[in-house]
Amino acid sequence: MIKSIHAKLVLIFILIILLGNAASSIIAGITTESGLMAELSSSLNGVLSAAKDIYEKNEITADDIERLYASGFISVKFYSDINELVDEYRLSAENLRAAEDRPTIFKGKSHGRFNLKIPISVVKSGDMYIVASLQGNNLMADFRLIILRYNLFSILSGTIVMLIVARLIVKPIKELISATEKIAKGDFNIYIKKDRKDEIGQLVDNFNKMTKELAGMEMLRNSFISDISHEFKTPLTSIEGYTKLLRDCKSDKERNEYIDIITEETKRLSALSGNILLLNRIENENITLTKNPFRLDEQIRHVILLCENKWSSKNIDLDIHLDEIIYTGNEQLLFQVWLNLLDNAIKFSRQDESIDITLRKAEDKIIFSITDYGTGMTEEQQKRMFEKFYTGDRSRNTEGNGLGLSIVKRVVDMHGGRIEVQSKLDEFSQISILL
Amino acid sequence: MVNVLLVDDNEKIRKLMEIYLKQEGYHVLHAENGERALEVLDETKADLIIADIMMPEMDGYVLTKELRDAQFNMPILMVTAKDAFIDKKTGFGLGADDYMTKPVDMEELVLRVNALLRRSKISSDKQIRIGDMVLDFDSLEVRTPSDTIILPKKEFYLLYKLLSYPNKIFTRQELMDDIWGFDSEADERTVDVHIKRLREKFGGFSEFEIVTIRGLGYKGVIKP
Repeated sequence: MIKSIHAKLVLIFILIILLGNAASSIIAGITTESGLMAELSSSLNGVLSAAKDIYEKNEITADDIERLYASGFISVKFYSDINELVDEYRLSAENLRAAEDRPTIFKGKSHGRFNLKIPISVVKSGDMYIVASLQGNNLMADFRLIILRYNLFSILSGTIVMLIVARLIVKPIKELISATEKIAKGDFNIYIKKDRKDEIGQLVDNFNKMTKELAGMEMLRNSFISDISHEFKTPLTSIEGYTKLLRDCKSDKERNEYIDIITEETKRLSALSGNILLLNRIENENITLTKNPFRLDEQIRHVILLCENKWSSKNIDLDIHLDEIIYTGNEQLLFQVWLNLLDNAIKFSRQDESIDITLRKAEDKIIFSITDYGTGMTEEQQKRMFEKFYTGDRSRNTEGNGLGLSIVKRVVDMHGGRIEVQSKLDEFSQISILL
Repeated sequence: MVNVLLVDDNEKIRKLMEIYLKQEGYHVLHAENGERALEVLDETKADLIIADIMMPEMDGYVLTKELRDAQFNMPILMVTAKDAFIDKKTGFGLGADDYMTKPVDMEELVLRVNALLRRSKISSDKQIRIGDMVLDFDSLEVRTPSDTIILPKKEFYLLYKLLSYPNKIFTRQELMDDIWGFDSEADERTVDVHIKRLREKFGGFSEFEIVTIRGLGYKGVIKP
């Protein structure tokens, strides 16, 4: 079996040309040849009758007539000896009798490579046989050869053209093959140049898009994994370290301090693993986001209730204004959005401060906004707050792991919404979600 | 003595839970999987079960189903790493009473165990006792040594619900769905009206109070 498309294309093309040419040359040969022969025969006859007439008038000698036709396409020859004629053209004396009265066509000598017998015309005049024949060249005889040469040439040139064209068709496929091999090996830095708009061009286009996406995902995954392992290792290191310290610790004050640190780092690990699972679920949901209508205000109330421990322990005064709104979206993921936002607001509020939570409808938009009057954010922090693993202030030992807001952003994006942030350091932070 | 059965294949987790639960005065039984749990229950009565879902031999789902099919109706608290919504749905669908996802805060676990046992007592006694006051579910009566008040059905259910879960905030919608049903024509203002009537009737009572939480809903508070 031939395995390459290139070879197959060329082979098929050659076969098609061969068949086509064979058919066309046979048909052309038969039709053209018989037409030509008939034409020739009647010319020969015509010339011969004229020559016979002139000769019989005795005004001009046989030699002169021969000379007269010597340089034309058709030559006229006089034979006084019938045997000479019979020998030259391999005719039989019998057959020649038909030529006694009028010009008669006989098969002539063999010519050329195909032994084509060019006809001659013979007539008897007195003692003489007059023969009209095609002037001694191989024009007619080469007729078939010409057709053959023409066909061979067309096959040859067609094949060469086809070799090149097929190479052009197959080239992007070969590039795709080597590109997919690279991708299979994990190299996503591939771009196939596209210089066509046909189906293969589209294929190449989509292929490039795909590799770009894959490369993006791969990069994200790599940085994500290295970030994650860092985020995991840091608390693990301090847990391990402080646990060892705890064993030989003599003072109660120190022991309590170490225990607090261990507890805090453990909480951080818990939150981290929870968020990573959630992010993973979001990525999966992204493929098929299931949506259903539900009461948004009620959902936000539930989130507030879930965080009751946190806000009541800081004695935070909640100012809640939630209009009754039914929204169609992914209930579970949006729940996480409100939870993360409220969690942040509480985290950055100080004791006895207040948080405003409002939900209202404005024209065709639903606006949720949450305002805390706590630490606020710098411009730098506002700019980077949605990046994965960014936590505003590294030196401060807060619980977060920098995934909460990137989850918020991701989910809001998935719902075609927008996030607006207003904040001033040490005054307030207001985050609005427009759905 | 109150028996709590712990079903988890991780011994360290069981030990940890035992330490916390013992501090609270509970007696603790152990089983490393569902099969063992059924064996333990053949010999001893358990008042509450804390079960993991992913275990060898018999998992938490199957255990819950087997117990409910066999008419065991003690509270079952599922504690598991599976935190997808569908897992919770499956758990509650099979008859679990509460669900906590790992990592579990042990103090919260104890609070939930307390609440589950209190509710279980309420539902088996069909009454709530607050000091000298008794709410009787069957007769829709609120009895004190000096007085007996018979409430209309909806008002009684509302009060019963709020006092079954003291200090827990309920949104109007939750109370609506629970007491009037999902398909009810009544709106959330109906809840407000009923709360108002209850306050009028029990304004002079020192045992409890119904507190409005602005923007959220109501909670029942038992006064010390």
